[in-house]
Amino acid sequence: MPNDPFDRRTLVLGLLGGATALWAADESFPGDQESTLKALAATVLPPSMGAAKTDEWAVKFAVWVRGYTPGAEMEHGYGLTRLEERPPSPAPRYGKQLRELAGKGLIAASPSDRLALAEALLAGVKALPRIPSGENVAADLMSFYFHSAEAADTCYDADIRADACRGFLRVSESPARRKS
Amino acid sequence: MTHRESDVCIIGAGISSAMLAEKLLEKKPGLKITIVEAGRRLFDAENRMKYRQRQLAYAENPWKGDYIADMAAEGIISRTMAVGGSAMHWGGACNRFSEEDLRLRSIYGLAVDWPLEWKEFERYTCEAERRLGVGGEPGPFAEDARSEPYPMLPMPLTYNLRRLKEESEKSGIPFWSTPQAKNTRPYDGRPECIRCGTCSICPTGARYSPDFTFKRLLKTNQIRLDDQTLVRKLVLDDGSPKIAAAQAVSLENPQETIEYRAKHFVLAAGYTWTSHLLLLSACTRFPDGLANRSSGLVGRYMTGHNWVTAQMEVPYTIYPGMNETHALLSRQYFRCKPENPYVRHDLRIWESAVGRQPRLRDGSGKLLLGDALMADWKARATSKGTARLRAYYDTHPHRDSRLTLDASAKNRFGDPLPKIQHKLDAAAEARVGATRQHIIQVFEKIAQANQGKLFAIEDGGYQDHPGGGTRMGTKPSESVCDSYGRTHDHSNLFCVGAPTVPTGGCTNGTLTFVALTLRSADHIAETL
Repeated sequence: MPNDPFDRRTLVLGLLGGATALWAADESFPGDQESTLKALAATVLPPSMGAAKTDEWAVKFAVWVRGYTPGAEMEHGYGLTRLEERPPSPAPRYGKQLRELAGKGLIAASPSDRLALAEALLAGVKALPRIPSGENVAADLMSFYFHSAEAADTCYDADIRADACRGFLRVSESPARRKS
Repeated sequence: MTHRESDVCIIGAGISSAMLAEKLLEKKPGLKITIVEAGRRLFDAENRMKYRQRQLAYAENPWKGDYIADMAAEGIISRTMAVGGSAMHWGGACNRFSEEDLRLRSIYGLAVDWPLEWKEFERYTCEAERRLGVGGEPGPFAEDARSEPYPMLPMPLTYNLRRLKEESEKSGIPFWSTPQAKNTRPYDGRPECIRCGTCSICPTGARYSPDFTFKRLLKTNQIRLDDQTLVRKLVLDDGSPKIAAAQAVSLENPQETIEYRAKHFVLAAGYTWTSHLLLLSACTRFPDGLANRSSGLVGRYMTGHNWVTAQMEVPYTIYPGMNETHALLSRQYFRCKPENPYVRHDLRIWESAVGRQPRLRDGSGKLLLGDALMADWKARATSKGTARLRAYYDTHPHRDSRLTLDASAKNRFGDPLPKIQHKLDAAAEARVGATRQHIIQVFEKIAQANQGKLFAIEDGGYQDHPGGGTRMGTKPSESVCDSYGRTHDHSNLFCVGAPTVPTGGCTNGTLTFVALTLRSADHIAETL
């Protein structure tokens, strides 16, 4: 810790600056990497849903990142209980990974090259996190989509709507086919 | 120091406290009741939908600030300390105990009998169902006869549960809708359930939680509720073994100490903090803790039940998310013939997504992206389904199943925190293996009926629905309180709810804890 008042001021300003940068990264995510994020979504989410839909999920993911609250209390559970807080915002790491993908030409790449870039990014990842963990932007984007109620309805081709308040009408029947 | 006077001082503001205060005021209108709670009140029901969304999106705690960081305990199963207690986030399951739970010694020569008659107690169970607003359907067994119908129709079975019931009953085991404190019609000023699927925070209030009762009592100025106020000690009257006061400190303003004086004191602080406060209140005349002279049993016979769970693969589609907090229930094994080896347990079946979730890599480790991932998921999810089976089984506590004061862990005021170490009595310990084997055989029978198979068979890692620590009984040498919760050592000190149970039964305990409290309320009202 510096003793000189000027140094302390520099340190404080530096810390404030860092905090501002982090805040800015969260608030503006994905910043200038929107096209990269959409290209990534088109690669790792089901292309069969169409470009408009993969773009839409990229935007939803960005909204999720911007709404993330570092330090928020997490559920402390029942049984084997423990207190935990949400870790720091994933935005800086995501931003760095997206910039790297952009640098490798993800946006202009052919479909097979895009797949290769996504596979390289996911090389060390074994499983989808239950909710985005902030470690890997590709895995987290996939988790964000594939663990959604909409993806489940697509998978089952059924109108389950697990995250909605739906009432009990016809609940004892097999869920209706999904509305496209 | 601030002084407060009341007729009844209730320490703790969980579900037992809410039920006790409400009933006492019905029986004795105008009664002056003060409720003291260490945690805070979370009364912003209007924001629950927003909290639910944050929980779904970010796994954030929907009950922000519902714990006190330096009030933990080794062995505790919930950190919740708030007005409403664990019943703010409970699942609402309202299964009943049975006569066998009350007569273990008489029928089986095990543990102890409760100092209650089932016929009388069953009426309080009905009252608890009315007050909580339980929807249910009677089971098919004559032994489960009810003196009153359920207040509401049962929660409808989803397609998943209907199908699981049809197939599972081919095993010869009947299943029905688990009774729950969730409105299946508008009830008690709260709306009917609209199947939001996030019962740990019910965004509409269709699932009962004690904040509704407290808010109603506060609105009509019937109670004083001091939250964020930690009672650190009960003190005796100078000339008698009666409790004279509860000494507390404000957690918002630790310089502020408060002394509560009352004719009657009721500990409604749950299975952990009830014994803890009695032990903390040790004094010259009661060096081992209050209410602990006659029996030495405060903090002993901590109880609950063990469980076995398994996933069951079935050859038909289960749609996860239809209503994952509702389950099928059976009491087929709730009773045991005295001449047979003792095994008692409940049975539950839920929808499950285990093994049917999207995965990043297939069985060979190959990465799956986009449509390939969706195709893999679809193939695994729609050709087969998964259900979760669970059985809570009856175990009985050893005398040394204990809550003690942990001198190595203290809160900000220097008070030692509780430490809970469960231990089964010798007979219960000896039959764990056979019980487990029996339950797995029952699970296999159900799987066979479904033409399915079991996987992920696991034992529970803790005693669920815990109770005990101030068990009730007829003899002061063998119990801390009588059947009404009145402590044998102090005529104006009562314990209610979970801490008073001698044994933990083999199904969810909340309904029973509430019924015991309502019975205590009748008695306390008579003595006022």
